[in-house]
Amino acid sequence: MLGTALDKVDERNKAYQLGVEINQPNQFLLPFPSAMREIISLLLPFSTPFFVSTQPSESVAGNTTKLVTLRIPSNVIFVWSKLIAQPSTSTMNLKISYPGLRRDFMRASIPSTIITGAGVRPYNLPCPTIFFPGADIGLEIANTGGTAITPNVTLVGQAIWINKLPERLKAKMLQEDIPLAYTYWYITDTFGITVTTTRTAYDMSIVREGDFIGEQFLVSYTSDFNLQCRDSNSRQIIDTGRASSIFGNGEYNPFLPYPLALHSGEHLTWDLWVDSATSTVYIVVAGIFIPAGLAGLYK
Amino acid sequence: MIGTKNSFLTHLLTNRPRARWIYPFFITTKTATTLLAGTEAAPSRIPIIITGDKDAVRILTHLTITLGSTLTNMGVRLSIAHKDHALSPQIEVNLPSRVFMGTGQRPHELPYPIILWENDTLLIDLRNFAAGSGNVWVTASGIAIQKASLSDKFRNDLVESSKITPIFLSTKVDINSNLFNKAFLGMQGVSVEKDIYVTRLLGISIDSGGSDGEVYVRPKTENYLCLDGVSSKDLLALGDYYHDYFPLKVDKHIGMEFEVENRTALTQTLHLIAEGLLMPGGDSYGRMGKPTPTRKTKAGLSLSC
Repeated sequence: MLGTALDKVDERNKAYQLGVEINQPNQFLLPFPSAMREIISLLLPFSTPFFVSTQPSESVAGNTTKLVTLRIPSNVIFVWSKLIAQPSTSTMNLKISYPGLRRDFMRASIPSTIITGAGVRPYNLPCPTIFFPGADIGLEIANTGGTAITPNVTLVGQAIWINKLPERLKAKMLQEDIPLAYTYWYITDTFGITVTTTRTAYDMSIVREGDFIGEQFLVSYTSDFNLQCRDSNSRQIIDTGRASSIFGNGEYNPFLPYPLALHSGEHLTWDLWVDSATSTVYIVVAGIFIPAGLAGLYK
Repeated sequence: MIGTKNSFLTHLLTNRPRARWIYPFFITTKTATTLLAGTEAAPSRIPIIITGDKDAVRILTHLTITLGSTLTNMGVRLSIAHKDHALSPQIEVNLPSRVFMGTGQRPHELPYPIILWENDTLLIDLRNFAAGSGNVWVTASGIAIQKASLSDKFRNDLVESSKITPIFLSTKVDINSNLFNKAFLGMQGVSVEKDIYVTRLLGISIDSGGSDGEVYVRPKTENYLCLDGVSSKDLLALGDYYHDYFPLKVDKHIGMEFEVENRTALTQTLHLIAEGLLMPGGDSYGRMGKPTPTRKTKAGLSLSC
């Protein structure tokens, strides 16, 4: 009797496993390279949740840009995985950088509604991104509206407390040249496109030296539009679609059904048009950037 | 735990190989297809056909819809059919699109991917029962694999893995004010050689005024899913907000029975759909993984464990 009952449980396990493994890949599989995953999972016992936030009184006057610096404590390695902004307004643009490693995470300032969520629905980064102890995070906040805003931008992730790390692991983790992938937001070469009824092509160039794995299509627009997308290898990624049926945004950011691998020198071409009038469009492909020379380390 | 080592898709999605021959795809059947105003008796109708690519195998994983102008996601209803094999049984009841379709921000993930080989077709039949009209865009997305790059082994594994198919059981039942009724998710057309696992319940109740209504539903199965009636708004998920339950193995001969109570003053129409997997039964069951192992005793006898 017991054997029969357990067989039934086992049958259910089988279906359950199939359900979660096959059908929800992006929810259950960590979407970043395995080497990175191994490093971070190794450090989990020495970690706590960690939030890095702008000051409550931080204010940005209308039509100005302000550079805010967030400093990571000197005893913490910060693994950044989510981004929140309150309020997330259409007049706030963000550009985030890691000056210590001369690293920008995007080429230009991105409307915050595309890459930030709220506390209840945070934006999930495609790839956890590491800041070393004492690192400065550069936050360029542009207020494109006429009225002053008081943005509260929060980077959410895990703090690895280095004083708790075993000596060997500590030495390894504090080498800043360990192979690290990081989140990169690719934007179209023309950003803030005025889309008209004339079908027009816009490129998104993969110019950095390395591999890029696109994980999310994100957008902001003033009215829904039509599009096609192909890459320089003639792969038809979007075969005539409607933006609202395809793109996510900062709060709702589903992963692509399958990652889109691109290499430096390649590009995506987006054909955009509207049925009537015009639409102002910002297109972003969020993904994992693997610097040149490191690709072999990742599966 | 059962292994899935023979599954091509598990391999694909676990290892996520980065290559030019495998990439995401989005197909929108047509832009600016107009769905006119209709009535319950004479709905406006457009069939939408998604055809397999001759150059690529397409593994369809998500469905989304955009309704333009004054179309409503309760007025626009759909049924789905696969020309060959994958959807069995197919969605035959006209379901409000809200129950089954997602959006770009929250796409509806199928309970199991549908594999579209060359010239395979998926028919999505849209009908508009409401007074509004407008353009409609249906998008299917998933994984494209260029056929020229498919080795024999990959092709064979893909064929093998396609023996598991998604299953959609759907029904529609009217319940008069302050009365009970029964709803059945039947098993017609299901191959008896296969096992059925339901992983999601979706649906919506629409009242006689055409609004988002509510009934109390009690699923009656061999083992109770719940002890009392649960509001349809709590029990049933929608196309863009859903989650998987622990799978329920459904008796293929009996199906699922529901007791439905209408506590409102209006007649309610309950649209109900169960999604899940149709898996090979019998001998082929073992192909997906070995049964619970047995322990050997010193005397060479085995004990179930």
